[in-house]
Amino acid sequence: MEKIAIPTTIYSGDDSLSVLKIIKQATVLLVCDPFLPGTPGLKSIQTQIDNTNQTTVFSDVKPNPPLTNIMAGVKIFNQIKPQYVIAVGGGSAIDTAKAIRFFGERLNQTEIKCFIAIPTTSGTGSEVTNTAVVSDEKNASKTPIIKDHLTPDIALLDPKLVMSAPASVTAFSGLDVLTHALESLVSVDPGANVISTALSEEAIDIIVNHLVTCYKQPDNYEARKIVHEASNAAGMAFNTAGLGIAHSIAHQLGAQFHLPHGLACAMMLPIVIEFNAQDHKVRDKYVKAAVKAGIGNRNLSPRLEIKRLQNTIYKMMDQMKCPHNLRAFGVDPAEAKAKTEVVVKAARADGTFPGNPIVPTDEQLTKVYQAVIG
Amino acid sequence: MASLEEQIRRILAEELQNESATTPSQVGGATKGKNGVFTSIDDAIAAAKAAEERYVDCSIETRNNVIDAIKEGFRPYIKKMAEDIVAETGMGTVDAKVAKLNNALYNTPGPEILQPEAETGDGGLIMYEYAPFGVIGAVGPSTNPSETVIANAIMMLAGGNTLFFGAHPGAKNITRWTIEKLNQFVEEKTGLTNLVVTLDKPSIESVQKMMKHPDIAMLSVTGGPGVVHQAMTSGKKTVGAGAGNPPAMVDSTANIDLAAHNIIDSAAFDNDILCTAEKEVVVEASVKDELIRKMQDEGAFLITNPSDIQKLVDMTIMDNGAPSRKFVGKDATYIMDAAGIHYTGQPREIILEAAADHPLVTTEMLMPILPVVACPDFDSLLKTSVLVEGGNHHTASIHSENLPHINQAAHRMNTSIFVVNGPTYAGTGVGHTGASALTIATPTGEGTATAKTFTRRRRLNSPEGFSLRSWRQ
Ligand SMILES: NC(=O)c1ccc[n+]([C@@H]2O[C@H](COP(=O)([O-])OP(=O)(O)OC[C@H]3O[C@@H](n4cnc5c(N)ncnc54)[C@H](O)[C@@H]3O)[C@@H](O)[C@H]2O)c1
Ligand SMILES: [Fe+2]
Repeated sequence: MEKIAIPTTIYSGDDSLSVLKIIKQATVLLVCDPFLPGTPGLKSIQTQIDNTNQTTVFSDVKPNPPLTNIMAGVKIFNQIKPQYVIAVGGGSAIDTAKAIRFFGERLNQTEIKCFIAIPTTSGTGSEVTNTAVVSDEKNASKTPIIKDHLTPDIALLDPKLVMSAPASVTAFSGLDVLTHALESLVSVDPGANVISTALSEEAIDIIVNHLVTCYKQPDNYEARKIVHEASNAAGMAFNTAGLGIAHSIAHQLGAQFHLPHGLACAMMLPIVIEFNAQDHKVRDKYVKAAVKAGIGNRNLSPRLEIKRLQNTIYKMMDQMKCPHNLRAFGVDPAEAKAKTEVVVKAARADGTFPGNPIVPTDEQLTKVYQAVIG
Repeated sequence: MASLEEQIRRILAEELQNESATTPSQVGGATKGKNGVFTSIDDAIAAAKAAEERYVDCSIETRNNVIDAIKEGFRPYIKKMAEDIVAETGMGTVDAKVAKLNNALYNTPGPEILQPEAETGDGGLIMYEYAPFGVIGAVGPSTNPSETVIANAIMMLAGGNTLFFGAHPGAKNITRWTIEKLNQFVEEKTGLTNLVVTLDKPSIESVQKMMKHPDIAMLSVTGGPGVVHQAMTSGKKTVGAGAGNPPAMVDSTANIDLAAHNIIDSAAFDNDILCTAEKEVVVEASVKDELIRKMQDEGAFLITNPSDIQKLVDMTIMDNGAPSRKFVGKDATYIMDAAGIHYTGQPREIILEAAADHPLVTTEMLMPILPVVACPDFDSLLKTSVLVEGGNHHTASIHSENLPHINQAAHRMNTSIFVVNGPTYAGTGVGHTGASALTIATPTGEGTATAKTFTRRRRLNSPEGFSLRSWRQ
């Protein structure tokens, strides 16, 4: 039996923020990305919230949300006991809000009425996933909190909010989307199905053909809108199907060498595709999706088609000035090599690991990791 | 009251624990069963298929190791298995089970009989190899539970297949035990798992479902006519081992001492439940009395009173014409006690005189009751034997010193096993008389099955070479 639940109601378009008007005479906790206060973006959101509401803003959000920041947010949650939580920002802001909600509800034995996510990056898909990743700096660990009830009730996709993102954020978060799509396409835990595959394939097509446009023309509304929706679709795909070892290792690259999440994913992606394509059923799925996205053609041998797919990813990375490996990013290769054992062990324990279609041996995982050192 | 930080850390720690408690069972997906025993048929077949995908790429040495593991692993358990089979099924004798288990374990050829064939010449090389089918769905009888699991496993695994085994509900505990042990032995020696899988609760429905499952490549069914017929109509390649009703022919030239000894020894072996065992004697009238006397000397008890014979018929044959489960494989003394027939000593077989169309002659009784049919000459003896064998193409034997009679009977009987001047259990390999034969494919024609029966013959042509004898410029 396959379970497919997409409980989030999604509104997309430059008038989607008007949905916020439904909130009346309520207590609202607005968790927002620190770049937002004072910007027209936040203004456009606040003007939609009726002034019969009591709104408290919490903007002390850090990338890879640390527990200390979340605690500060939980304190506010305890004081105001909100009925609505609205999260505005990148994946980190949305995850922070989810974590605040999780701890707040547990500690106060309450349930909020509605959780609304408004992403400002086209990347994590966090606005439709059941996961919040929190970092505990005390133990240098990253813990995913995975609870179906953390899936946002409403997601508002306003392409205008993404336009202010720095080029590098556009590139990295967009490549994160591509990784979500290509990993969910072949995931075995919980496992891809027809619906998730449709979402994955369409997201691959869109990112391959429109991401670089967003990077080069940040104000291109049509491109921003479709990439924003692709991010959302890929989020739904991996929420249903799961991910794989590109993410398992990327999470370690973030923890060990402070690589931005999307960049770490992009570096791993071509390596992991090659590894997984050893399994011909998996390879055929990649090939089918790549052909649909206009890469190569169906007359190429599967081996060549996979090469084309890998080259397409590297070409996109070149066009968006992304380093291909750790050495090019500035990590000392000797240091990276010395961390092999830690990385392999933690990657194996990562929540995304079981999704990978081939269960790698430690030796294979070592090879995959060391290929990214450069 | 604990600080906010402590509370939050405690909740987080709980989360982490839940996580680690749920993850291992998700990894791989094929970890659902234990030692090859599964709850769901789909899981079981999926596991056998995953095992097959790995096993098909393994070396021949690994196949040999798998089979060695089975042979060595069961060695200390033979007596125990024999006792457990008799206790659970209530059929047969411990001594016979020990002999049959030894036969299955140490007399079933492995990969060594799957040598390729090659032709060479001006057309280069033409080679034939024996390759696996995939996951084979096997069904075993209650009369040979562990023996069939072991012999089928050795043959099919030798051929590079894996198997789903549908246990007979009447022998489910010992079948399950055998499969669990087998998986443990194999995993210990080779690390391979789920080469043989089964269900914790076997049922007729699950076997029917298995026969239709798309991942089952071939069926091997050892059992009664119903299940064999079902397999043959499944649309899959089937090795069907069906019922028999073997006549033992004795002509006037026979060495009667030897004939009497072989017939009683073989029929009484495991209380006559082997499908190959002598189920009736067809004898030339001139030597009938001598044969009966000598069979009595071998431990047979002759019933002559017509009302006793009728009691026996009423008690052991059910209204639908099948033998009563209550008496299948039971001791001769148990049957006579139940029928209230007075006897002396410890007879091991019941004999009686009967006409060729008597129900005890025409029914596959599977219990130690052996009717004797007299015929005036050899021609009518042979005709009668063909008739009572019932067209099963199963087993027959002849006791004779007349070569033309022997040859004529061997030809005319048209059975899968034909034994000359010996016990029919020789045809199953018991007593070092050839490879073990626990699955005798009668309706489908493969005869006494071996590893080769469970392989596909594949051909390779290479016109440009090799031929060591010739070279085309
Ligand atoms: N919950 C999930 O399912 C899930 C999935 C994948 C990743 N994640 C997590 O998400 C985080 C990464 O999220 P991300 O890639 O969106 O990065 P991010 O949220 O950390 O944002 C990156 C930077 O861009 C800024 N920013 C965001 N939107 C902007 C805009 N429109 N204009 C200007 N600046 C903007 C942010 O302030 C931040 O400095 C990681 O913690 C990762 O573990 C969560
Ligand atoms: Fe990601």
